[in-house]
Amino acid sequence: MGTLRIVHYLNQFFAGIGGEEQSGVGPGGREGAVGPGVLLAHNLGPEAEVVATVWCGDDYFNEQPASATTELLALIAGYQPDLVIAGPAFNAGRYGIACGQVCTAVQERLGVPALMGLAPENPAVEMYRQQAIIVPTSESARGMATAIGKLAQLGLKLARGEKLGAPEVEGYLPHGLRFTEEVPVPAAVRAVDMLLQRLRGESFQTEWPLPARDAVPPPAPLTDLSRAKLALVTTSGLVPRGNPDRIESTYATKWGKYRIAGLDRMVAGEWETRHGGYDTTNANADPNRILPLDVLREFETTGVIGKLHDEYFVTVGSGASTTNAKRFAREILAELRAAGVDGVVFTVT
Amino acid sequence: MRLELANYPVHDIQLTDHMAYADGTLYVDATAVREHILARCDFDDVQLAVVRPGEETRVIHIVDAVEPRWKPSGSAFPGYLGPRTGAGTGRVHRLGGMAILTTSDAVAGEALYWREAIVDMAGLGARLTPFGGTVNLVVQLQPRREYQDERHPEAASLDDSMIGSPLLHRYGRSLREAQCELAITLARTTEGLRPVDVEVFELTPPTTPLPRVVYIFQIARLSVYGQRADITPPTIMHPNEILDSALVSVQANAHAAHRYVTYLNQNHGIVRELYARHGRDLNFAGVITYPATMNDLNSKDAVAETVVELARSMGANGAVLNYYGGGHPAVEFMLICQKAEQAGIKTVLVMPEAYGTPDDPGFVHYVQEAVAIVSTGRHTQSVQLPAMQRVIGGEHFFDLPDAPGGELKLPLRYLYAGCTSTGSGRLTARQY
Repeated sequence: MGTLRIVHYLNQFFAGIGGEEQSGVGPGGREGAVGPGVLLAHNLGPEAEVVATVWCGDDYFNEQPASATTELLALIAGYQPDLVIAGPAFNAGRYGIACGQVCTAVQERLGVPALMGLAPENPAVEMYRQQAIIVPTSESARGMATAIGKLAQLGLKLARGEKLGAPEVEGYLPHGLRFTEEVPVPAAVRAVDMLLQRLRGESFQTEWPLPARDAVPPPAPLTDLSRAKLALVTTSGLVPRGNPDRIESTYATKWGKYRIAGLDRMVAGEWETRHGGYDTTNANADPNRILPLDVLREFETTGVIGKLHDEYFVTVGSGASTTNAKRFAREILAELRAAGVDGVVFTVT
Repeated sequence: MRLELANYPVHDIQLTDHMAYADGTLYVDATAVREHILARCDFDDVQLAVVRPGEETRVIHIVDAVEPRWKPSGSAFPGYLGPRTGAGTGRVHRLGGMAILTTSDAVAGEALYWREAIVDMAGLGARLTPFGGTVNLVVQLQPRREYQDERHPEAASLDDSMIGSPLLHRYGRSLREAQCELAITLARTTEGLRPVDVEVFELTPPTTPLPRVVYIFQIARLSVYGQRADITPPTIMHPNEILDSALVSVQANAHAAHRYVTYLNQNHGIVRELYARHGRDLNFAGVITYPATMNDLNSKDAVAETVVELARSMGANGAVLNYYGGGHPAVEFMLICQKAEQAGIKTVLVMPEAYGTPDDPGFVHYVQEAVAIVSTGRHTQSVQLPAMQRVIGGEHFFDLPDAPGGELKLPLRYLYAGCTSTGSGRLTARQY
């Protein structure tokens, strides 16, 4: 067997092209290791070689992810890798997304194993954890040496074609998928063993950890409503008639925002709700019942509230996955913050 | 209460013209068995077949499985066939290592979406059901035509489609009586013979102080002593009653993978394990049963409250709880865990899993106190089963388009009793 061929993906900064001002640079590549790739090559040892480094600017990638991925894949394929290693991107969001996209595309389209390094808090973890192998890193590049060491160690296994064991054993982030397995000891014996461990105060390991509790702490109340800017947000599925953005009536994957500037109330017939989880008759008969524009406009006129935001935000709650719901929240919150909104009237169904 | 299980292990079954047990082989008079069952006048046809581990055979349409038992001093199925008197005591003859698998075509007013149940005797499937490892006498029953008449006045479902039609109930009762009678007939062949071994079940008080442990058994789709258990309040049972066939499976409209099969109650994994540790590691303080069929939160809360009060009155330090599966039962199960932990009773939960992705972690309901869980496998997982040479029990699946003898890719939930939470199974689920 010859030396294993590794291609390393970096962003413009770690590839030495430049900082934020160079983030618009397009995909490029060169033979050999660059930047953190030198350390990677050292960690891989004689069994593997970093045959090439491929990079892309963070903005370039995130502005045209589909075509950037295609360009990068063409570059990567040219070096005939046995494995692609991306990052580590630490807690950098745009870089993390590029790593996730490159790794999953390399696996799916080239049939080549890939892995990356991300801080567990990186938003790309949530997006790619099901498909990709992610080595947890520190938040900043201070943890570079540890991250590279781990990437090299797991990378060698993957490049050799070995199957990785359980995440807690191998040290990658769990995909979050559960699989049935055969074990030698019957469930009853495992249960009584676990109970005795608990009764004796010994440590024990549950076979099914509870989901991470994702409680959102309530924010402090608004101190002066008469000067506050409010926005309407709803999961009721109320959209302009015809549902122009085709928001799904259940298992929604998108949200919409629609202008209500200059309107005194929601007029029946001009709006409709396409929600798959409740009887929409009363909502369609008077959309103010689920989006109380009439009352908020009155409050705005009489000075109870300062101002109502010119757009409302809507999605459908029925069956929506928590992954999508979290993304909706991030995206809608960014808009609300940019618009200087102080508070939200949130109607849920 | 002292129960003796006298074991007569069965390594092979032969269909022949007389009834006998000799040297680990059970000889079954097939004609006599058929005629006896046909005499009930509920069946148009009865066929017997023997399936053995390793044979490339697939059994489908399974309704229940039972271990042959005979009790010289009373009924081997107390309350279901004959009086309850003496349940949990005396000597019982058992034909260990074999099962009667009863299959049947569906009847009018029977919900079919969960009815299919499969046992493979070879390949991966044989390891995913307890009956891939036993020698099985398959009893294939064809209901009389009236039972399949959709226009029959009793064919319409009762209020609750889960429970099915009165016709189904009448048929189901007859089927299970036939199955239990056959179980007794087969085990009676050991009359006057010496057992290979005798297990004694008696809760002798331990000589040293040990933690008191109760087993909290979530009852669903079972009869207890012949009475439907889903409407009975929480109660205390002696573990011997369960091992002595007090619980008979009475409903087949549930995922095959987590059904409380009669055989698994007779050979209850958790009850047996707590007995095995009794006096050594723990003090087995008894079993609490409760129904998992309440439909509103107040009733669930009341049931949970009563169960935990019973556990406290039994002086429990710890409890093993099992969950049947499905939606509603998850709520009272978790409430009991929470209330028990709050009362200072440490719990371990034995439960099958449904989904298992970050979008849906698979808990219908959970409480923060549920820190110690034993998984009996995720039944939504896709499994691939090889083609089999022979199919017994039916010609088509109830709700799968595939040919029953072919290679199959289906969710684990079709494999009979593969994830049942009574604890004898060897499956778990792990996160990747």
